[in-house]
Amino acid sequence: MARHAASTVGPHTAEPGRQEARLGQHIVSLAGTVDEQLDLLAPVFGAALASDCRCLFIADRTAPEAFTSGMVRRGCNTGEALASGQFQLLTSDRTYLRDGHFDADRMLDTVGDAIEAASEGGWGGLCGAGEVTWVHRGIPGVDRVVEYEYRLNELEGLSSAAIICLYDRERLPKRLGTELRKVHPLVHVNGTVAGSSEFVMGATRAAEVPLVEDLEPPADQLPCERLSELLSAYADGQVAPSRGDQIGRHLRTCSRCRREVETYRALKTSLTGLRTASGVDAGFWVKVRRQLGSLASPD
Amino acid sequence: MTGGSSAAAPQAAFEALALQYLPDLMGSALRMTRNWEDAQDLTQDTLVRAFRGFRGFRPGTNFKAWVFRIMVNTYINSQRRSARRPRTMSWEEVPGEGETGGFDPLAEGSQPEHTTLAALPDETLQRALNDLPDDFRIPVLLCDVENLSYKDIARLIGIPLGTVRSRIFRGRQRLRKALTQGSVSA
Repeated sequence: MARHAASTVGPHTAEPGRQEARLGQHIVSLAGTVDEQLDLLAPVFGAALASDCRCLFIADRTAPEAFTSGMVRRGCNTGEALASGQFQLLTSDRTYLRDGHFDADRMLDTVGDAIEAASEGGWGGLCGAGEVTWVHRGIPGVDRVVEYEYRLNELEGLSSAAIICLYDRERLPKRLGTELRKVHPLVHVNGTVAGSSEFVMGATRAAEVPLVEDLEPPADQLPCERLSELLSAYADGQVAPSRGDQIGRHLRTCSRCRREVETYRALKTSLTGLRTASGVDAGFWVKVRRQLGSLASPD
Repeated sequence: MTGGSSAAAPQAAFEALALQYLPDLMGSALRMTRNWEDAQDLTQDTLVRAFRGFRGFRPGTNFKAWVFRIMVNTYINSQRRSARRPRTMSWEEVPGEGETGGFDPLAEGSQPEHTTLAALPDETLQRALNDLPDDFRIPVLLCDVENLSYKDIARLIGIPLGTVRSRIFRGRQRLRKALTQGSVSA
C-alpha cells in the first residue's frame, strides 16, 4: 500500500518513446491498433504500479488474456498486480454496458466510486484505462458518450486519478473524433500524447456538448424499457425530427409506450398549473428599492 | 415599456420594469427555493444583480426573460457553493434499474397514471416537486413549470443537453413514484 500520494503515474522525466500520465489527467487515445494502444498503456501502467497506484483496465476490443500477455511482452507485469489486487481487469459488459446499455450517469458514479475506493484503500491514486470501442455497435444510450467524457473532467476526485479513454481510430466517425478532442485535455494519436488545442470547459461549453444520436439504433428498434428517457423528451417535443418520426412509428403499434407518453404529458400539464404568480408584500419592495438606491447607478 | 432608455433615471426605469414583473419573479423564486424567506432573498439578490448589469439589457427585449436568467444563475451558483455531490452506489451494488428503485410504471395492474396525475391537487404536486433533490427538481421545474426548452435549460444551468434530458426523465420517474405510490411527505 502507498504511504504517500504519487503525483505522477509515469516517469518524472519523459524519455523519447515513453509515455507519461500524471494524476489529474484525462486522455483520449485514438489508437488505430491494439498494439499502438498497448504501447501507450504498458509504460503508464508500469509507472503507476511502481507508484503504488491502483490500476484498472476495462477491456472491450482486447481479450483480457491478450491484454495481460501484451503488457508482459512490453515489460509490465500486470499478472502479479492482478494477483495482489493492485490491478483490476474488468470487461465492458460489466461496466460501461451493464444491463446491455450505456448509462452515462451510472458510469460516472462508477468511476467516481473507483477513485474514492482507491483513496480509501490507501493507494497513491487510480490509474484507469477503458476501451470505449463499443461506440460503433449501436448500443442504447451511446448518444450520451461525449457528455460522459465531458463530465469526467468535472468529477470530484479526478485530481487523484489518471483516466485514459481508448477509442478505435479506424472506426471512429469523424464528427465523434472532433467532439472527443473538445472534451479531453490530452490526445494520444500516432504514438504521442499532446495537449488538445480544441479542449474547452465551462458553462457555455457544457451546453454545447452534443448528443451523438446517429450512433444509436433507430428509436423504433429499441426495446421499450430503453425508450423511456426518449419518450419523456418526446412528450416535451425535444427530440430530433428523425427520432420523433421513429418514436411516432413505434407508438402506433405499442400501447404501453403510448400510455407512457400520455403520463408524461399529464404530469407536464399538471405541473404547468403550478405556474402562478405570488403576492409580494409592500415592505419587501421598499427594502429592494432602498438597496437599489444605495447602489447609485448600474455599472 | 422599454428599459434603460432613460439614462438620467436608470433606477426609475429599472424599478418600473422590475415592479411590473415582481409577482412572477417572486413566484419563480418561491418554486426554486421552496420557502418564502429564501424566495425573498433570491429575488432581492437577483434584482440587485440585474440592476448592476442593467446597462447590458437591450431596451425592447424581454426584460422578464433576462431577469429570470439572472435568477436561475444566482440560484444555481448559490447551490453549487453549498452543495456536495451525493455519493451513490458502486458497480457491484447498482441494481438493474438504479433510478427506478424497483418502480415499474409499466407493470401489469398499474392504474392509468395520466388520469391519476391530472386529478392531483396543486398542493400535492408542489410537495412532491419540493421533495426532489435539486439536481432533478430544477430541470423539471424549468421544463414543466417555466416551459423552457432543453437547450435553454442547458444554457441556464450550464450542463450538457444529455444531462438535462436524463435529469428531467429521472426527476419525473421520482415524481411518478411519489405521486402514484402516495409517498409524498405531508
